[in-house]
Amino acid sequence: MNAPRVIVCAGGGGVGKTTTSAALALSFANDGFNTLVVTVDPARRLAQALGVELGAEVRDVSTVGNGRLHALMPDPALSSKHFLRILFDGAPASVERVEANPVYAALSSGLAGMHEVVSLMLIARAVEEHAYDVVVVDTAPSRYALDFVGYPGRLASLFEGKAVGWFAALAPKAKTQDLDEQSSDGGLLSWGKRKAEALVAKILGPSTAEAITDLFGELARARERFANLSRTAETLLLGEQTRFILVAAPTGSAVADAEYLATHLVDLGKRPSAIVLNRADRDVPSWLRGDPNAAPDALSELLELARRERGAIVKAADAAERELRSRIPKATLVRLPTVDDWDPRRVVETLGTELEPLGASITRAPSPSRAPSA
Amino acid sequence: MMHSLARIVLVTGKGGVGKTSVAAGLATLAARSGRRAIFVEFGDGESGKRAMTDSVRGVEHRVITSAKAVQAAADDMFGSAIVARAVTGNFAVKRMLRAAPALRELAQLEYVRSVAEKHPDHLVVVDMPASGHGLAWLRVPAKLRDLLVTGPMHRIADRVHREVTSPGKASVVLVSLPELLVLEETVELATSLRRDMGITAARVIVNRVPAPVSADALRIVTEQAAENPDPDREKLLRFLEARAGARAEVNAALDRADLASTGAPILLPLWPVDPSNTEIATWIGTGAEVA
Repeated sequence: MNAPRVIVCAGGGGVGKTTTSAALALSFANDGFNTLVVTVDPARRLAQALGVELGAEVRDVSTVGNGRLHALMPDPALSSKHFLRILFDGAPASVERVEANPVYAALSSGLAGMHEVVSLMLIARAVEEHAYDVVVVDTAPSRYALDFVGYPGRLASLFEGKAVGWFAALAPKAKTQDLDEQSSDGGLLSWGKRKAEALVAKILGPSTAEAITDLFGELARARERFANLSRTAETLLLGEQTRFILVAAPTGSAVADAEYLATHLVDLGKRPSAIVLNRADRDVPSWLRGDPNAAPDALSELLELARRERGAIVKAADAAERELRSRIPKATLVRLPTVDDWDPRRVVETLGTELEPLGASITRAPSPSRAPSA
Repeated sequence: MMHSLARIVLVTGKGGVGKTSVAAGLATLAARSGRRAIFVEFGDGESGKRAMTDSVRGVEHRVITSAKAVQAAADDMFGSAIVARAVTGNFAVKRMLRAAPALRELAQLEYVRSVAEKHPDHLVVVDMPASGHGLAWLRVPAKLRDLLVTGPMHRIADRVHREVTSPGKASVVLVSLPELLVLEETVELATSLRRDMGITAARVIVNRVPAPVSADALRIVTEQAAENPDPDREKLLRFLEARAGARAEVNAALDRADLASTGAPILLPLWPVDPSNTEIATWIGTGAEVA
């Protein structure tokens, strides 16, 4: 099985990343490619419009895409539940023990990043189980996108390296240490281990140290699976096949976020292939003009306001385009208009058509070659 | 709204809603009403610099990276920078710190606490990092305090909870957008803040709200499109429907929410693009309503 082409969409919050990702994925599906779109931060209205339920499973998009479009939209509320199921696949006893661990119970609901980790695991699992030509990943907003793509590597190094084992090895010791302290000075432990235990106990208190080491003991059982899934996710997000698309909008912070992402992608050995500038009209549309001879009424006032707004957008978009072109010169820049439609499905369809040339340039790029599925 | 704020103001909300702009606007508004303010930002400081377009006398912008915040808390915890660095430099502890964000969050709140302690006559306005789960953030001190029954980290968590995250110590300002999902999250956050932590959100601020579409305008275009259909009228109708729909969604979500104790939400306008901190201060000061 060939690895799929992966397109990672990154950009500031509120720039229309999720819609852009869905539209781009639709353009691939319309072009004959079996396509998966993954939304880490799902928009419910969009999910509904596409006929997709939020959840840990891949859903077929029923409303657009000719059956070749599939969506994975993990529900943030269920992440900590899914986490253990994925990690201890086929070991329910471990799931129960970890769920009962006070450290896990205290931290899992409060752990920022849990949803991202689970989403990554779900992406890795989906790609292992299905054959996709293209996977479009809509990342966490803003600068955290880089944290997101770098996370699998950090997790893998935690689990592959000695760190988990180091904590896990303390587990039985932490228990006996309490006894030792009561009975004698227990001077049999090596200096290094004593120091390590003292350190953990000093920072966290002895009972917590025990719960943590128990937790790591349990996690150590799943380390291989976890490390594998993490590596799969890392390959997907940062592999040879992966292209990065920056999504921006004509606001100062969105442009700055795009520039930040472009600069820091280089640290990960990547550069953005394209920039999609959303809500970047080139002119004030004719249909906002109204009838110049009509008497002033509620409509004419509104149209005047809308024209002023749209005029400001055009100016801001021109400036944003100039700035992005000069700061990120090698990336293709695609400028999309505002789509004024209350139905998100029509928005995705309209933008999907606008994005077809970009989609085609990605799938037709020479390496790696991959034919559309029948 | 300024007189009702506690000395520490935590501005929170999900990524991209404009927390930084609102935090800068609040600090500016405080300075205008004669109160010195410290505007705290976590990260590299660029967002804050961009938000403080107009420099204002009486507002000090403080920037700290999360790594520095963790180091400062560790120094304090071990009473010695050398010991702290030896511990945080341990390969396993280092990896733990990178994989356990709760510690980073505690350290950041500890930084806020120490700034407030050192500057008792300032308003401390904090642009909280986007984390998706705003409440999880504020729960970290109490959780760690309970989890770690003794030890130096227990003491730090306890102190941060007493001075920052317990009721009445900090005002929480929730920033949102006129989108159903984002608003619902905000409303949920306000509810669980009150229910689980006893903290009443000082205010909900909905950013970038488009001007309302009057029923009259919608009626005129609907009639015109029916009488005399053409593509331009169709597009105009879709445009008005999109606006009216967005607005109705905002109103419905805010109506459903029990925000009585929080006070009327402040709606900030969509335009101009990239408003300055002084513009935002004026909007918030007058309780801007785009009704």
